[in-house]
Amino acid sequence: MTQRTTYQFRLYVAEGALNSVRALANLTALCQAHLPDRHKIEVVDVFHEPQRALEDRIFMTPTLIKLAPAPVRRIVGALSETQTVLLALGLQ
Amino acid sequence: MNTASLPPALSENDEISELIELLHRTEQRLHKLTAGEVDTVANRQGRTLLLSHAQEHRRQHEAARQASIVDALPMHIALLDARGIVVSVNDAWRAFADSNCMSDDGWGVGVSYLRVCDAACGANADGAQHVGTGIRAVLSGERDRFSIEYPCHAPDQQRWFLMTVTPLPGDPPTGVVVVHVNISERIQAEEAQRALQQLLTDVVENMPTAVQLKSVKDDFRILIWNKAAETMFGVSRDAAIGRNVHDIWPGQEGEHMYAADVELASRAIMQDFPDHVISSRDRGPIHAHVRKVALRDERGTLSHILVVADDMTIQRAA
Repeated sequence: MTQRTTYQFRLYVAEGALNSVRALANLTALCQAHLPDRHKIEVVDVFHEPQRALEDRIFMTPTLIKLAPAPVRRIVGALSETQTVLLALGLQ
Repeated sequence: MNTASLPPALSENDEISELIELLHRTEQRLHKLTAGEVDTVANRQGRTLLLSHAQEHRRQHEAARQASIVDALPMHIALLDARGIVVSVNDAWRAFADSNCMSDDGWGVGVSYLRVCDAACGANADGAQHVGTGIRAVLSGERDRFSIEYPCHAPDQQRWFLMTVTPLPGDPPTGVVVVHVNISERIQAEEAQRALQQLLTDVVENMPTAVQLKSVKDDFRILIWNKAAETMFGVSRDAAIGRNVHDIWPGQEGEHMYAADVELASRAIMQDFPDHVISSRDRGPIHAHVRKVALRDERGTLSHILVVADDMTIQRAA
């Protein structure tokens, strides 16, 4: 994996719900700190796009999917434990 | 009879009770397993459920957002329930109450607005009772809106407000929103306009020169006829206003005047008649120095003809 690899994330949320709001804030902060200029975040609201949630087999929100680089990883929760999240994403 | 509206049988009640318990236990267990970090869960068919703590957060979040919007508005806003009791007020309402020594009772929250209106006495009693009637009419659904403008002067300030009452959804409404908007600037501007209008009227009325103003679009009918015009032409204001020169000077004299007005309107220039002989009703023929000016409106369209005339009869005789 090169230093310039772009990380692609898809975050499933329930808009306005506390954990979802926190997860997006934590993910944004984490990307700015560890992946500046090499990340893309797509936010999907399960109430607006339930079909996509079903296709991605999302049973809880917030759920973060790291789509690229491989391997695909999933993390459920507000992403408040930064070290755990970094480890799970293969960033440490 | 609609069986769907019947209460469940006793055996069904037991089942419902068990399901409710299961629902609570399930949610508590989910909360524990996910350390409270999950907002929604979905079944295999993709049906999503918002968990109760997330529902509560969303409700509070939405309420706070709505309150921020209402608090940002400069008008004083109060929400009344179906009984007319003040349920909540916005920042502008609280600030007005604070600056007018009315904050002792929690800015009116919990107070019956209707009772305050009913109990009003003194100079404001009639107005307050009218407001109470208006609020009741909106609360009952009889009216879909009520509004009133009223003075509310402070010792050092003249103030006026516009009060509007609009219903909350429901039939009958579940409450009303009462909004007071400070309209002092508009009222003061209107009063200043009225005062200026009166001043201009007084100036025209008391000029020693006869003044007429004719409407171009209304067949040159007379709109202004001052005191000096009454004296010079021997025609009262009441006899002149709303009429044109044909009515005041029948025959050839009126025809000539009317033709001159039409010509002025078509050429839109100033006309000057230094020695114009006109019939005065009570003095016979008089000599007058007459000037006519075409006036245009803000769009540049010719709108009026201003006629000023000075009686030169004595000078001519001398």
